[in-house]
Amino acid sequence: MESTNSKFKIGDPVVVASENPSGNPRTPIYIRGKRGIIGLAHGVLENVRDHRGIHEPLYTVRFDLSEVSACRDHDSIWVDVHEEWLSGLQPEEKH
Amino acid sequence: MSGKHGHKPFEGHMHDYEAHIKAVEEDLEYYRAKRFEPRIIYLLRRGVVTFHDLLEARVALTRKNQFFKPRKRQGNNIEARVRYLEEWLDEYVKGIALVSARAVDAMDMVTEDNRKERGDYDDFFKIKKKEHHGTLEERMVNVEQDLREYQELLEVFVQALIARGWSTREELEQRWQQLHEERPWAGGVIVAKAWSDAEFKEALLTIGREALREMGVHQGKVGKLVVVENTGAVHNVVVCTLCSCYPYDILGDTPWWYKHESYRTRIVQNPRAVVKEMFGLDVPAGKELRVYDSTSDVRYFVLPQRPKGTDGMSEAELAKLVTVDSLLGAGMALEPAQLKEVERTGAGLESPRVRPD
Repeated sequence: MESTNSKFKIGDPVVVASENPSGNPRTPIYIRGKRGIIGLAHGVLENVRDHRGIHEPLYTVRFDLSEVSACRDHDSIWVDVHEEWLSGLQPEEKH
Repeated sequence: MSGKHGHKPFEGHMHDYEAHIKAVEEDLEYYRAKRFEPRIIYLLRRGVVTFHDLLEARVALTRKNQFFKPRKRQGNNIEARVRYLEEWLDEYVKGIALVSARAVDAMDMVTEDNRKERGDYDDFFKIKKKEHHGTLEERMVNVEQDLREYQELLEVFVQALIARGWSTREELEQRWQQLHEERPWAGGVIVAKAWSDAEFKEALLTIGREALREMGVHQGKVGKLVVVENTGAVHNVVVCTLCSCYPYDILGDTPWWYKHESYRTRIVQNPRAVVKEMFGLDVPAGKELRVYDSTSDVRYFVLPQRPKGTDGMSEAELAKLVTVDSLLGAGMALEPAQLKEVERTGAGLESPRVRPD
């Protein structure tokens, strides 16, 4: 499923943009500006029934629960995010 | 309510009338304010159907030409009345599915347009949902009145689609029949096969829809499918915080609580507490809880753990243990003894046990 032209691979640390880069609204507010790890890489998915045009490659990003909420349980939230919303991080920048 | 489909009328003995009515109220307002009326407005905006078309269709409506046949109640006891409302809701939801398909075919419409216009990204555009208060009796009377009104608009809309030539009565009748064809509970069939067949399970977890295609499960094209496996170390839960994305083309109607704002907001803030409070589910301290938020082109469901005491059971028997809730991480698959109890008393089918307000 991983497309060759995807910028990130599973395990890469990333940060989500704070501002909407392109008018694609499918990134929820609670993860904006937050840091996570690429959990799944889906490549470019065509979904013509759902939206016009083709979005950039899609990833499922794993966030520590404590990164996105005040809860301290050691659980995780996995969210689908398109590439345009993500920037790479050096591994040591993760924490 | 959650044994099979989200609002499918429950066929056994009822346990908690108030929970049933709450589910009807929630689902009814969801389908009206999020699925049906935004679609009418969408088509009004674009001149596909006009206000005047609706008025004319209402005037031309007679008992003879009406599309949806009036419903009759079997009995006057409370259980019969609840069932009547549930069945009526089910017909209303199917009616929306009927006209939605026509609306999509009539023009170049994508889901994303609809999400914007119904306020998924901006509360400003949201259609206000009605709230019901009072005694159970008062609420039942109110729901029945609402159903009558909402059904009338649906009826008039169907008439307007026919009058404007966007569809024909024959075409709609044919599709209406298809909507009533009983299909096996695909969630149960899929999970039972995955529990019984290691090779299939591997395929299901890695290639999703392809694996289902090979086993001949009826499915549409609602995004990529990812199935996540519950294990001794991980318990998975599914949500869509932006709207209520759900693999309905495979699993059928969405359970009402999954679309509820309270669940959608809180499950990503404090998942352990929410699954405990809403579903009575204790996730052990050593287990990681993972919440999957399907914000885009992926639809998720959970492969629950195979319950104890099921060795040697056939796939058909196993399939009955699989509830909708267990496919979303809001419950475990039933143990055989629990299934017996559920079939005997109806208890446990009205999840969530604590209803969000």
